[in-house]
Amino acid sequence: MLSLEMVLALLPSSIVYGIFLGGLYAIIAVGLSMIFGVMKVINLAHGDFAMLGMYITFWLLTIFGVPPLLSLPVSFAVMFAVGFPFMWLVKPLFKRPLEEMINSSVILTYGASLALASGAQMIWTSNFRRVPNPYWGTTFSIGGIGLDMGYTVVFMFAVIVYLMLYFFLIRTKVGKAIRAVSQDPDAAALMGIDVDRMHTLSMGIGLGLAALGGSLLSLVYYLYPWVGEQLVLLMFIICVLGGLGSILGVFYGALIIGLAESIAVIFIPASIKDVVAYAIFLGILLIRPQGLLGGKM
Amino acid sequence: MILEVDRLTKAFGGLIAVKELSFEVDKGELMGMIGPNGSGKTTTFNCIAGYYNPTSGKVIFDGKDVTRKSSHERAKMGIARTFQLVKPFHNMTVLENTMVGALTKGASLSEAEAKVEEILDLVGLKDVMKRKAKELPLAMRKKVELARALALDPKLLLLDEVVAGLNPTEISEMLEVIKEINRRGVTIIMVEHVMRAVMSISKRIIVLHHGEKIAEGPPEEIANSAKVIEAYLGEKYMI
Amino acid sequence: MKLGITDRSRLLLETVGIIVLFLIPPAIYATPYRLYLLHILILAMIYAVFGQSWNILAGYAGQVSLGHEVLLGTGAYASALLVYFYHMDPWLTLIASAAMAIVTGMALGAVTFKLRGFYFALATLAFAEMVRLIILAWSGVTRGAEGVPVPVPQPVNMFGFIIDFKSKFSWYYITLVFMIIAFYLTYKLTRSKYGLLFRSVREDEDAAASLGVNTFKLKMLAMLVSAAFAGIAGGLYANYMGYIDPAWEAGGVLSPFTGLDALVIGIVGGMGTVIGPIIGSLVRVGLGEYLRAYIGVAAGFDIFTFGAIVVAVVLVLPTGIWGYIDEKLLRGGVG
Ligand SMILES: Nc1ncnc2c1ncn2[C@@H]1O[C@H](COP(=O)(O)OP(=O)(O)OP(=O)(O)O)[C@@H](O)[C@H]1O
Ligand SMILES: [Mg+2]
Repeated sequence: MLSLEMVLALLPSSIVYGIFLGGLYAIIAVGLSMIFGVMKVINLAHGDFAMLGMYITFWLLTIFGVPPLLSLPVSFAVMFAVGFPFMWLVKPLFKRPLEEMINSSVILTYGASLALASGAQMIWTSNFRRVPNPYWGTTFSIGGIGLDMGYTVVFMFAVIVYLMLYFFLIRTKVGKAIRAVSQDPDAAALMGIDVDRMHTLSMGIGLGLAALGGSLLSLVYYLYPWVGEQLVLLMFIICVLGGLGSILGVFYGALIIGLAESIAVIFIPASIKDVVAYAIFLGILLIRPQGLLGGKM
Repeated sequence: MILEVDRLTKAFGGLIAVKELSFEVDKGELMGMIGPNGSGKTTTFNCIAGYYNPTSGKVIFDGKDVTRKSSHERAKMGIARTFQLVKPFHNMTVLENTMVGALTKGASLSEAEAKVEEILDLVGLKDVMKRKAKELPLAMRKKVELARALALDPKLLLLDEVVAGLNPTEISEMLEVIKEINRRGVTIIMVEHVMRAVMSISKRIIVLHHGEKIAEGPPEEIANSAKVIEAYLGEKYMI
Repeated sequence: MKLGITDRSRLLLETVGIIVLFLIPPAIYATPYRLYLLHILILAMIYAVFGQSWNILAGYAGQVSLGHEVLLGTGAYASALLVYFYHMDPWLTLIASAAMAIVTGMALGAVTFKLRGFYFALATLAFAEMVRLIILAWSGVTRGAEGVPVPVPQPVNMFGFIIDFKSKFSWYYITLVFMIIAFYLTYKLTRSKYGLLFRSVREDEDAAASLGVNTFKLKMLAMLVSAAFAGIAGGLYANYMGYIDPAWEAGGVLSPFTGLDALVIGIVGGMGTVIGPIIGSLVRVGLGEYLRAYIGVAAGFDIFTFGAIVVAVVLVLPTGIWGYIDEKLLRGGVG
């Protein structure tokens, strides 16, 4: 049994760790939220794009000797480009009635997810790998709280990327157009916005962010082909907590889940820590389904 | 009196779509409800049919307070509706679409089939009853919605822009069907964006603007009301 | 071109089909691969019941579940634990399998059926994985990661026939009978009033509710039947295979890949058709065995193929194989 003192002793660094983890999750989840907000596509393959980002970092380092942090823009750019063929796969569904479209997108991206993960398994085998980097496992302490160097670096970059995204969406013309499409595609089209182009762009940005988040994750976590399956559900839970389609909300959702997971491992074995996130998710669905539905009509 | 709407208010976040709206509908009446885009007509219907819970106010149907009842309970009590953006069951035949209402009222499959035959005849869908709804043109899909609603044996029928998007021939055909349904004793509230269609068949019209009732009366009076004309001003659809 | 097959000739076809199924074991008795063939067919039939279970929920009632393994898995565990700890008669434990899966399904439905389609899909993923982790962690009752061995039952004397559970021939007929019963019940259900109401919920919940359909109750009903089928499929699977475990990897009864199997079977065969799951399970098991030969070359190739098949079917053959045949060649009924 844990004594109260032990819990209290562990708590401060757990809280910091939870916030850092949340920042990292937010980068991956925000792309998911954007893709849903703009296109109403449920992208179950999202975690696998993060997984691919991890392997990009891994390859760049092991083959070309590129330092991991420099691979961030490459990850983003490569998966941004992958957004085009992925869009091409998803687009035919838009012709179907909305309810059927959403259901089909769930099934299609689930299939895509398994194909991507098992494809990665064929290329890289199912071994767990590590991206060697100086931050991994290094610790330092501030005010008596032990901090992990890797997570600190990751969190800093996550916050920078998040702020860049935020300003892109709020300040730039393209960003405003994307938000207009997510609010009302018909009105946006009437205003002369090229809705198709905004769809493709947000898909590219969404997948790019997933990969970038994956690259960051690879600084502190093992990579293996099926890591995406583990991630995607957490990412959806975050989006639902923050409001699917919302950008700022995702950040809060990510913090909640990051904290829940980091605090949970004080009490339960790490191997089943995801139970907490799932329980929060199902509990919220049970108590406030109407709050999560958004506009019903 | 079959329906009484009492100070009905519906807010979506900060937006008040319907505000303190009160009106009554008599048994057997065919009442029109008009108003410019976004004036709250559909929201009012949604509150009467149970699709939304109103923020405040009451809906009294057939002497009973139904404000907190769910859609399916109200449907069984006799409130039927059509949807402005049609929602037919795409992958079901016209016949099957229509049978649903009869089945929920307790009919067996064969009873339901026999019962809806007459309805399909009335609305003019008998020839296409074996076709899937998704294969039909808009005018027919709107009729499917109507037929489907009728299979509930409704006491009150809410029609949300059933003639919008139809050509003049289709409109007059549809209006004939609606008149016939009303003649058989079904009370009808008909929402239209274009006044002309409602004017020709209803004796009383209420006008919504920004969620509030701004006028009520016989068609001629409404058509000449300065308030109503002002509300519609700047709209692309003129009276 | 529509052949215009009548109900009568359809009945005839089905009767012939069933007779053929009964005659397969003696027909292949002389071949050297008979045990292997029987094994494949037994699995295919168990999978067909599981696929049908998914199909009732997703194909007819429109609730696309991505965590369907939770119903099969809890059913399998109910039976395996009772046999292992209490040496109960496997027949009786199948009832427990169905009951356990129904309880699980009702809990899942109670949490998720107030939600829209894709929230349901996500919630099923979360729910299934949560149950798997709990079963994994609760080792005092479930034996945790060790899994549960299920000893072969004693031979049973049934109406003069000795059923020897060591024999694949016995298992073939047992699973065949269960499959026929499940498919017959599905046929009856989908042709009933409730089948039509299920489809109205699938097509548009709002419209269905506006016509007096209690959509929550109907979804629960679909879940009830679906869970009973999946639970029994799980119980049969556990007793046939003789061992189950809660591994995440393919092969575990609670693995997401088991849920994927249900999805592949339903989608490839044709959602919302009664025959579809048989075709889907033959494709799934047949192709799966074929691809196993390549696993040594590139592990993951089988799952890659099924993932790609799901994508392709959603895009180019949304009604699945039997849906296509039914629409294009037969009457175009409801499958
Ligand atoms: N689910 C909802 N969430 C948020 N706002 C809504 C919702 N439904 C309607 N509104 C808003 O409420 C107002 C009234 O809408 P409503 O659909 O009732 O108007 P209407 O009179 O039917 O218009 P139209 O003639 O275009 O059909 C509009 O401003 C609309 O944007
Ligand atoms: Mg409207």
